[in-house]
Amino acid sequence: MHSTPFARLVAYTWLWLCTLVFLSPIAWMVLQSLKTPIEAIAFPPRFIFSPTLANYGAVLSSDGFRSALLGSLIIGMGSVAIALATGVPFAYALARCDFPGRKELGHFILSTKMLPAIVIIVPFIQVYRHIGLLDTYVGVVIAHVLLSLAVVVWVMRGFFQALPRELEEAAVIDGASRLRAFGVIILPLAVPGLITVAALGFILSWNDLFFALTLTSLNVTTLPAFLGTQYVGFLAVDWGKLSAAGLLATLPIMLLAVGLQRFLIRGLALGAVK
Amino acid sequence: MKRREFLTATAAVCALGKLSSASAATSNFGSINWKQQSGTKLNVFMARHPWQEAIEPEIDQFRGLTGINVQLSELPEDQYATKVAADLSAGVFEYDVFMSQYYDAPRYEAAKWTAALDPLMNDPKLTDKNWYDWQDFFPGARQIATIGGKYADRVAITAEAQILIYRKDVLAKLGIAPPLDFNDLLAAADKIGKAGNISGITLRGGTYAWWPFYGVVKSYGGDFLTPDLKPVIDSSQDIEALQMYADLAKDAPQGVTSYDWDEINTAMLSGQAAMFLDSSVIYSRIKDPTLSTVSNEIGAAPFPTGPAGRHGSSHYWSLSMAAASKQQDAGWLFIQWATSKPVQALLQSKGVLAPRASVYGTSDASKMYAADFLDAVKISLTSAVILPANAKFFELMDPLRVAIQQVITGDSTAATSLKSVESQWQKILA
Amino acid sequence: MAKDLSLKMTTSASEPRERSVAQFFRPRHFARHRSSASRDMRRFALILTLPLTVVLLALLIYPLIYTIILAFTSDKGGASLGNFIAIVTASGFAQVVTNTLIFTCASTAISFLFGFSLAYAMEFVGAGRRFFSSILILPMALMPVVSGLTWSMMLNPALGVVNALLRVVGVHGPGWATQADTALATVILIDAWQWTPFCFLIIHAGFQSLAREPLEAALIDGATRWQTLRMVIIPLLRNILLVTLLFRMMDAFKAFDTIFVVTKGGPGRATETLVIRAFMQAFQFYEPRTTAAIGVLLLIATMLATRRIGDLIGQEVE
Repeated sequence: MHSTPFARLVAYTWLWLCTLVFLSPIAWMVLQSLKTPIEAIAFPPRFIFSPTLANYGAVLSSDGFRSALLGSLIIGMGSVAIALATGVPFAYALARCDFPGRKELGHFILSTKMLPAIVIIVPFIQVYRHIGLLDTYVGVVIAHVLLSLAVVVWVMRGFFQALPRELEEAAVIDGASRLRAFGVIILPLAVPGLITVAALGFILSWNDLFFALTLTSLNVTTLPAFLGTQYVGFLAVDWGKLSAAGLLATLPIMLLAVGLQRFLIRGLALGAVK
Repeated sequence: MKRREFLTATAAVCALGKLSSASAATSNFGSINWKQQSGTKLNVFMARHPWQEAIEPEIDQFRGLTGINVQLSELPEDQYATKVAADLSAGVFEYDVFMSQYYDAPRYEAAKWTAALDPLMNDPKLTDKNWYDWQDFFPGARQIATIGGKYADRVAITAEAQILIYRKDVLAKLGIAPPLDFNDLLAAADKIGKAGNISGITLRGGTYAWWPFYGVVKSYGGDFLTPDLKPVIDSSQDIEALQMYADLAKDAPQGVTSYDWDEINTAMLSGQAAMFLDSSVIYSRIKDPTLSTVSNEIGAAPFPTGPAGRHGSSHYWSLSMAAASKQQDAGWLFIQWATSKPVQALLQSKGVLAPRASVYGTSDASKMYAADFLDAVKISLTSAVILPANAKFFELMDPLRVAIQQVITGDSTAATSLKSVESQWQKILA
Repeated sequence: MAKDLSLKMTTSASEPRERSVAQFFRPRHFARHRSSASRDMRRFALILTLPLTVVLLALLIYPLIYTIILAFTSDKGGASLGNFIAIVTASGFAQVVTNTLIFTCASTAISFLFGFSLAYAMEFVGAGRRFFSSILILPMALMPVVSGLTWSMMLNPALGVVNALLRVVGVHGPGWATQADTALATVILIDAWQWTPFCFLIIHAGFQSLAREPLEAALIDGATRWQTLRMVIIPLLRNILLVTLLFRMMDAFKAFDTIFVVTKGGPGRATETLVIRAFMQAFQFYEPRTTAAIGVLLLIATMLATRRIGDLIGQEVE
């Protein structure tokens, strides 16, 4: 967008201001992660101290952290893959196909996200036990698909609707199958949306504690459960290690975000070319 | 969730095990055949707690003694409670032995979630009764075993007394003697607060304020419920007690309504408060110079007396066995081992107070704890009270928590808020 | 081609109302004119939607029916409305409902406005785009367990860093989450902080998918920025914005982690919401029937609230 220097100034100021405000708690966490236990609860809170990397060392060298990290990665990627594979075509059907019950189907998908997990967890656990999904990776993956599926379907439907219908109509008239028209013409145009829902789905899975807690017992460990267990003791929170582990746990998401940015720009470029 | 497979004995575990096996060798484990369940796999579930921290490295000793493989899972207390409640309610509880608290007992027994332990305790094949010595447990600890009234579903593993912990240096500087009764305590807290550098006292104003509050209520001659579960929370003694509690809270750090165990500890450890009226469990931590900035300045006194005497709260964590467990014999062997004299003595020497009287006379105890602390615990425990657990316990505690907080924040008075609690309790118990 | 398309988008989006009315009167115009194509289309839709629908139903039907039956069962086993009556007449119910509504509306509004304004600001930025859009995700990327604990310690009135800094500049800080009159605002701010990135991400992607030309055409035609925003951008992004609002609202309505970690519903009942109450009923009081009844109330309320927005989104902007 062409913008005047003044508009740019306002925009940059706002972005920087918000960035500073939004990141200040995280900056504090960074400081906390570099402190010894006594410094972390010192009063008045310390800004100047001799920093130590011991917390990061302790977290990274813990077997539990590494296996929880692996568990979270497997579950996050698995659930995003399934949510996209099932949700995106579903969204396309809702956006483009005229069929009876379309509206109801949309509301049905939405309703999967309406009941708080707290309310249905007990019967849900029983279903899981019945089909043997308790305490398995597959079970947690499916539960996490439920967390993101409605977002995937509804956000993608919005993106599909924003694309002109003529695009696939033309392709279908030229003899392409509907599926092909969807895969070759529409999907590439919806890349910004796909990236966004993929990132959101991954974050929702990555941060979930409740399902990870209630649907697993012995065989599956994820990061939120591990962090809570390892660094929140009965007597007190181990602030240094908790902060270090919490910050380390955001790294995969940040890497993902930075990596996906490339596609976001590319999606933009495609949109402009058409 | 932290899971540690004890099946695979690593070098590190072996090194730890040395100390344990040394003590195991010198300890007598009675006449039963401990190897009878050898090869069984046992799932044990614990909340994060000093007891858990102390016993975890010793579990290897149990493995050596019995040949039973223990798989241990842990969660912090809040999440632990959620997980246990969800799994028990859904009927998918996978653990054999788990940590419980005595106020859960009525619910657990009513739903038959826990196994009866008395048959196992009375089975000569499984228990050497003379060696185990049930009468050695404190009366309160024995009482909580059958608190649901139907069958013994738990054995106490810890003893916690509500005592007064104070900063010797702060009190000495202001010329204050360690307070003996509640009026002294309030005067001392006021004086320290007025001096300005540090809060007079820290106490719980959060979700679990009812535990320390019960000690104050009993010492003022009030109570929560009659034995046949009629609420008496709005008596004049209860109102006085709440007034005292709220007055003390005025000398606590700002924001005391969010203070539970974690926060009152932090306030003491970081030197923000001069006195502490809560569980003795804080002691080993506050005396640890790597965690506490005030480790050299700590004194301990018995729970203060009120108009009706000295009746601080006490608390016992316990071990229970799931009714659905298929390894009940092995589970009982674990519970028996963990609550036996030698193991309790070992844990006490690591800073966790035991529910067994015999353990207190040992030389280990006096090496570990200062004399004023041991006295404070012993004196407080002799007249300590336990909360009247019943099936609606937490539902009852919720309006009380609200009332305590509203009086502390000044949004209500002690009399009005307790009247409201009384009427809500009548409804809940109707 | 670019020009053509974008112009079409502009015209269609700037008159959504007429379109939707027209659609309302002939909802299946395709079906009438091209019936074989429509059969084809229906089969295609079936293939895309049926498997997932079946799997979801299989997973969720039992928990749903179980919950509804439980909600209408009395403690003696018969059918009854007793659980609902008990909830509604329980002490503090009005306050809990008010808290829930305030929390939902305020947290949604704040995070949406911040998310939107940040996404819009990004449109003026050349250098640093990637930097901002990566770093602004951070509040959501932190696990709620960790960020909740960190916030509650930072805002601890006596021990926390926020009031300590205020003290340095001579201000006596408020009690934040520990005082009845500021607690709700505090947890709302933390929740909005955490979820602003959610709104930002979706709306930002929405902006990215917009064709540039209509915006620039509008500007060249002499429209002010405000007019462009109102007349072109918001209509074009209508569905995306509504979806964002919808999910933010649903999530705020059942927000749990932050409130539970920071206040557990206190002090008093200052921050107790329906979900917090449902949690306590389920996992502390062991009253599954009350939890189920609260769940049914939540479900009905959410359905009513989302129905209208959902239908708005469902209307296709052709």
